[in-house]
Amino acid sequence: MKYIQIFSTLMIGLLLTSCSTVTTRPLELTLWLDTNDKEIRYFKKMAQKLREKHPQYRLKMRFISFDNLKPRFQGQVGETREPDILYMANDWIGELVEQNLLRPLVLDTQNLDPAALKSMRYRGRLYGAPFVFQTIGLVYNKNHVKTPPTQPADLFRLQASPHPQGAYTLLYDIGSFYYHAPWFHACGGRLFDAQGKLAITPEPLYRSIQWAQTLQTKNIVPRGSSYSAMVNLFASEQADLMITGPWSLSVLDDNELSYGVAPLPQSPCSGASVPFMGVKGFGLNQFSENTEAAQEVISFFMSEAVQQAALEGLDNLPVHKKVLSADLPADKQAFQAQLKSAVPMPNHPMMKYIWQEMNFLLGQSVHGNTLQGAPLRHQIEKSLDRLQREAKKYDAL
Amino acid sequence: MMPFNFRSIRVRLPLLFMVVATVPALVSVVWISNVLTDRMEEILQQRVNDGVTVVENVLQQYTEDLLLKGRVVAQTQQIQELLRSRNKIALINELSTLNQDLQLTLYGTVIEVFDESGQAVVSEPKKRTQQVPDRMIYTALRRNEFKVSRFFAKDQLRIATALPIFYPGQPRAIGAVTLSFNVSDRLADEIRKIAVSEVMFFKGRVKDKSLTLLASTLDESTSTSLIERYLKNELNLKRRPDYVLATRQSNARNGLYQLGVAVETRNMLAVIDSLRNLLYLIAVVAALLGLLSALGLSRRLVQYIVYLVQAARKVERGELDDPIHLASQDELGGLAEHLDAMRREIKSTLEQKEVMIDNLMVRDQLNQAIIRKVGNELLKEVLMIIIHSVNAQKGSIMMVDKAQEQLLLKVVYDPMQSEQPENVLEEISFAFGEGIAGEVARSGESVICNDTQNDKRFKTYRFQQMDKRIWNMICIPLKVGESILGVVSLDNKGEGFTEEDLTKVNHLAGQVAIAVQNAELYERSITDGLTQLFIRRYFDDHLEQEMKRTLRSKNSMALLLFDIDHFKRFNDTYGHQVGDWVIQKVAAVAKSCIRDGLDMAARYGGEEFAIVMPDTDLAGAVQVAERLRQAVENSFVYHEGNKLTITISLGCSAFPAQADDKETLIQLADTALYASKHKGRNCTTAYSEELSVYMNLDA
Repeated sequence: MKYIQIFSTLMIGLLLTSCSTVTTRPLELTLWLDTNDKEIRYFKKMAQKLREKHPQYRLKMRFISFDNLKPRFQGQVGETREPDILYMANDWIGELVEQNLLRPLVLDTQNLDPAALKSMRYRGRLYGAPFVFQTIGLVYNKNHVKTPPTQPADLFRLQASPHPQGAYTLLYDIGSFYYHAPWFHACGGRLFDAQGKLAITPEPLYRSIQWAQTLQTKNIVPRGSSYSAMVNLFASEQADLMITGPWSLSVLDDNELSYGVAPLPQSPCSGASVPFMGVKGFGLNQFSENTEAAQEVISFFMSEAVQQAALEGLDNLPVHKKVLSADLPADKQAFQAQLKSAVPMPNHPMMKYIWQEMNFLLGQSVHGNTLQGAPLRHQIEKSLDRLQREAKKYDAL
Repeated sequence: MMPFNFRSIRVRLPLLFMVVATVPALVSVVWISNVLTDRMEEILQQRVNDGVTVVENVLQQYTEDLLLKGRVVAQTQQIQELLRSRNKIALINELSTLNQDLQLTLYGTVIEVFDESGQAVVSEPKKRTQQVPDRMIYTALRRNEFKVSRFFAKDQLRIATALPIFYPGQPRAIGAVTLSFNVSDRLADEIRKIAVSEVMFFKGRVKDKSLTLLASTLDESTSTSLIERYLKNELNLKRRPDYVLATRQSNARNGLYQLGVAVETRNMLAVIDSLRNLLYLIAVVAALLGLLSALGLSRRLVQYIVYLVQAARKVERGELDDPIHLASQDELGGLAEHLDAMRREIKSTLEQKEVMIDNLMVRDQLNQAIIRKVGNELLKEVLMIIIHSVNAQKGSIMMVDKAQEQLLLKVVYDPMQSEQPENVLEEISFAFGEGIAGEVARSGESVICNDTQNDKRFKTYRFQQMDKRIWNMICIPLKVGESILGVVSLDNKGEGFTEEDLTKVNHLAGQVAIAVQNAELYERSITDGLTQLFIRRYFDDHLEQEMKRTLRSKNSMALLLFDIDHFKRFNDTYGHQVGDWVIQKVAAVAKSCIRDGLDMAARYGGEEFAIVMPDTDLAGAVQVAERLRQAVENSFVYHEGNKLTITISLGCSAFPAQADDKETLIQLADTALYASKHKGRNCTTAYSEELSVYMNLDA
């Protein structure tokens, strides 16, 4: 009987051993993000590092263009429960939270920049893990410009100076409110007040758009100036200046251009030109079935090592305080300086409508060739009327 | 706990079963697992091969799309107008819009526009160097041809097309547009969405064992490691790689590249592992069940065998009472039955032998008794032997009195009453046919009666030696041929008398009957017909034997000789008839005065008698002689109404105190008798030296 017991014990042991050799299947998590080639390389590398550090997880990344990312998330998330993690801009947060698509995060935030964190909070709760800052500055061709302009007069002078055939003084996406925002803020404009109520008034809009029109009429900014044209022509050394963010710099590097980054020049308005401080970060899908794992992965991206790698591998500035406080390259220092005066980009759910309305207004103003003087004021009022109607829905009046 | 002994079937059989039950199951699992792995590898290999085909097709599709989209760009009126007007900003914006609208940005397509002389006008997005070689642009401009080309530009595999741009009304192209994209990570990612596998592109040849990564959906280190292992043939499932990889070679205009597809093995390995573990589980469970069954079976077999061995050993030791039985219908059950038959046979034989021995012992006892005893002593001995032989409580022997046609109770034996059987001195008799014993005496047939209370044949009788309480009995005739000598009655056997008892006692009774008959015949031959005393010849033999015994026992014995005083007068006066009566009377008195079974009385001559008294000295002999004399003196014989008194004269001698041999002893006793005669008769004289004078006189 004893032999039977011994043999049975051995057999059970063998059974348990064989069962214990079952390969533990890593949990697969999905991340949706928009990236350029440089960012793809970075994120792939980070996914590999995640796999090394947390073998229980595998990060499956899906690259979607920026324009399609939010709509696809909104349209698909309920059905597929994918992705677990969304790489998003902070101005989407209000809209996605109100649609009940994001889940609040529990995150160790002590090493993260407070302003970045603030951008990710909505109604007092943290809905995004900030990853990188996004802002814009003045990029200048060092071969053309020795001292970057700081005042409107400097711009006029630069315009008046001789230029090579077909070269321009300043290029930027003049029809985009994101790039127009520094003039708007400088003229006293703001989108929301401290209570989250819509606070756009006509005058700052009017004055800032007038300044944009002036830049065009004075041929400082050519007609048709767009983001593509800006990057293309600046990289071709056919522009002295451009207003853009760090995301455009890789093209300049590819074209081996000698450039510098400087604070944005002032507009005729009395205030300094103040761009938006956007933050990109990771949101947690409300419908994710792997919330704890997803939070762990998000925490991994917040770690100092990953943030340090972001500083080295990406153009945008990371949000980790220690990483950000280290010695930065000159162009990044310039963007960091610009950040200090930047206005946090609101994450109010109305932002979508604000972008639409303001871009439309600007498009009409700078490309339409029709909105001057009284018609512009009228158009501004109509735009603001539409926004206020929308604001009522969000109790933002 | 039994010690572990490999030679024991208790150990070897379970071990054999264990091997038989376990090994095939485990071998099967390993074999199935290998087959499974090979099959899975084939499936995976097929899948990656199919994946390569898909990637190849998708890439071809992108290439053809590039051509189509190039035609769209070239034929867009806005582009034609803007090229003519050289409005670079608008042209860039338009190209950017087209790039977006035609989804060319998905894989980083660069659109370049050239004027009619082949000079670059714009590139969207801006690239530092021209993406398409002059040759393609001139071909488009001069020959109006457009085609797609794959070529290496530095370390990039590029796919490009160049098309002429015409303006309405102009016979010659006003410029050319090229669309090109590098095979990049972004393109690989786009293809992966369709191929659902990891996609890679390498520059070089597999057989050269030198491949350079161009693009991959995986990160660079993983991709590099993968291709290195692939080139070393290390990506087979048995090595549990992360991926399996297949490549296919394709041609670019100025070099070779490899399309690679990698399929993750994790899921497949997990399936294999799960199946293998399931198989192991099944095998282990099957082996365990098989083993338990085998152990149970072997244990049962071993139990049976051990049981049979132990049973055989018991038989060998002569322990034959326990039956040998196995609750099994198989050969072992049959073997057990055979063993049990042997046990029963041996037991039966031994029992028979025991009975035989028992019978022989009883017979031996009987023979000893027959040899040593006679008369009632023989009957008492026989009764005791027979009672013990059948475990009866008590018994009796009745002898036939032919003259009276009745049975006379001779001896009884009841160990509860006395240790030894006793003579029955009372005159207890049964008529033939009276009671069970009488019935046996009449019919000559034995009777078993196990319920005396309800047997009408049973008759109670009372006498001091027998207890009346008899509840069962067996009566056997003492029969020689047709002559019935008596009846043996055995009483009260606990469980009742059986036929076996009857058979056994019948045999003994037969032997006893013959002995009794022989004894009677012998006794008759050594007995004087008139006196019923022993004859002179027997006396001589007996005296000689007794003297020898006395010498052995270093004891003494005495001899008494006596004769009837004036016997001649009886004959002469009253006739010979009366003389015979006198002799008979003296003999009867002599018989009654001696120790029954010890002393021996014999008719020594006409009116002379002798008594041999073992273990008696001279004085003792005188006492007996005197008692005898007085008894004779007190007796009488009637004749015609007259009481005739009788006296005797007696002489005693002792051995070995007075004589060394038989003749001397007799002579001395005779001398003493002579002395008694001489002294005046009716007296007793013990021989002494002083009487030696009479010896001479007598002589």
